Amino acid sequence: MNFEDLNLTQAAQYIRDGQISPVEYIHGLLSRIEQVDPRIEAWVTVCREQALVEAKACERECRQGSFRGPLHGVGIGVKDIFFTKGLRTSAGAKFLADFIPGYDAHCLTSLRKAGAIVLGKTVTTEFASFDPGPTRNPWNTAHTPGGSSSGSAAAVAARMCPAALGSQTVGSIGRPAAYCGVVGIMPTQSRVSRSGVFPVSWTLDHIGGLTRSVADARLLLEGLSGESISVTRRSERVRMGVVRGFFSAKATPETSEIHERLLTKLGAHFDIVELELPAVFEIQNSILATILRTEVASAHTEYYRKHSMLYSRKLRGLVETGMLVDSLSYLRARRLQKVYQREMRKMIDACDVVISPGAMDTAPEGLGYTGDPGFSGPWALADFPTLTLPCGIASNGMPVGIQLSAPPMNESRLFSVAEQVEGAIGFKATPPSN
Amino acid sequence: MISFVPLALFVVSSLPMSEIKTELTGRAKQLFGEERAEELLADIDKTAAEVTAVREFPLTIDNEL
Repeated sequence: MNFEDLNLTQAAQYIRDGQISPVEYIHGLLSRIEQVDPRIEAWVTVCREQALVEAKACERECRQGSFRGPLHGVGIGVKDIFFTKGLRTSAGAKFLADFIPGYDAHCLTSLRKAGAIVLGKTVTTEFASFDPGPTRNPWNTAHTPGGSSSGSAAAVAARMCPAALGSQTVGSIGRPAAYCGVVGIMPTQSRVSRSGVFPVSWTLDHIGGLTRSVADARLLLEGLSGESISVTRRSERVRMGVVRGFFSAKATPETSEIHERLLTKLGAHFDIVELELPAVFEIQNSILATILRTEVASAHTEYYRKHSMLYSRKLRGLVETGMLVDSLSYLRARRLQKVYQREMRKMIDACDVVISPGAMDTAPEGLGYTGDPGFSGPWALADFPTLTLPCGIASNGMPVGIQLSAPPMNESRLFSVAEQVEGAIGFKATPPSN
Repeated sequence: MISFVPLALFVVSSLPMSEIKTELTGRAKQLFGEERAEELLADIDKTAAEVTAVREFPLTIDNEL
């Protein structure tokens, strides 16, 4: 059996059924990392010995018929901005290269309770901002995997692990998911604790992850949040909202064409409802950027004072311009965010979920730029839980994604519709050199 | 030592972008020095455009309800 081909749900089920041994499974994933990662560079740290120790403990428990939880014995990757007890957490920053936290992030504690085994830490852009790490896109190593959850998306796409933790402030889960042809879940902000995760922006940060199926994303989110998310299909047809305007204008012609073809296909399964973006949407990027800059500057006050010369170019610029924004402008942006959220909720009232392209284009060539997060930011600012899933392959051989978004705390509805959409799309492609 | 520019100009909500840019640039010079402020000009332009958009969008107690 090729362990790397098992998705999260399958691996968990096979372990529970006794079809695979946790030790053999974790060993298989570690071998896959050894084989593939020199080309992809998705991992900062691989904790081989500790993962195998935990796998052995899981195996003993399996033999006794005892299971920690739904993720018993399954290996995961953890973005390097999540605190991991006793394991280096550098956040992609030079001056934190030797930082070892004394505790786990709260959501990681929850995942470990569910039985997950940490394989290692995945590459993040510096402090989950815009300065890229070394990670390459498994679909074509000359292209970026996106960011900031670069290593998590690439590791999942390259079958080095079935799931990995990510975080999104603007587009750090959705964009890498779209670029790497995997599923990304950004839940409602309050769904998952941010305790023990390096902050980018307290107002905008969301904790989620990357997987290879919608069912896997739900399983991962349940582990992260410690809450069950039920999925019930309704008897009446789902109303799927479509927003064009901004998205049509910014998407490349090929992205638009793939998206429109998909909408035609989905029209056989769903009622497609045209939605009009509210007037305040026009300044959503300015609202988001003003909040982001100011909060990044605040979060980095102490580090910047000591290490400003060690910051990479983009993050340093973000911190410094954030220091220039006055309090009245920041507070006005926060007030406008509330207006924006209210207007977006009114808009989505006319439907069950909203569909939009996952990114403006496929992953850009080169590793110096992680791509434009402009299609993810509107949903992060609205705090709409959003699932990104692959929907096709562009003419350059790179994957294309879509996003499905629902009102806050409506993950149940979101997963229910997304499973239907995933089935209708039937995406099966894998990275060519896999 | 970091010193602060008086915020009086920021209180006016309808400043044109050019004045906001001037204000941000002046503050950058005080905080980071002339040379660094010069290097930040492109970032300051972007920040000024964002702040202007935030300041100019109509916001009243009524539409916040």
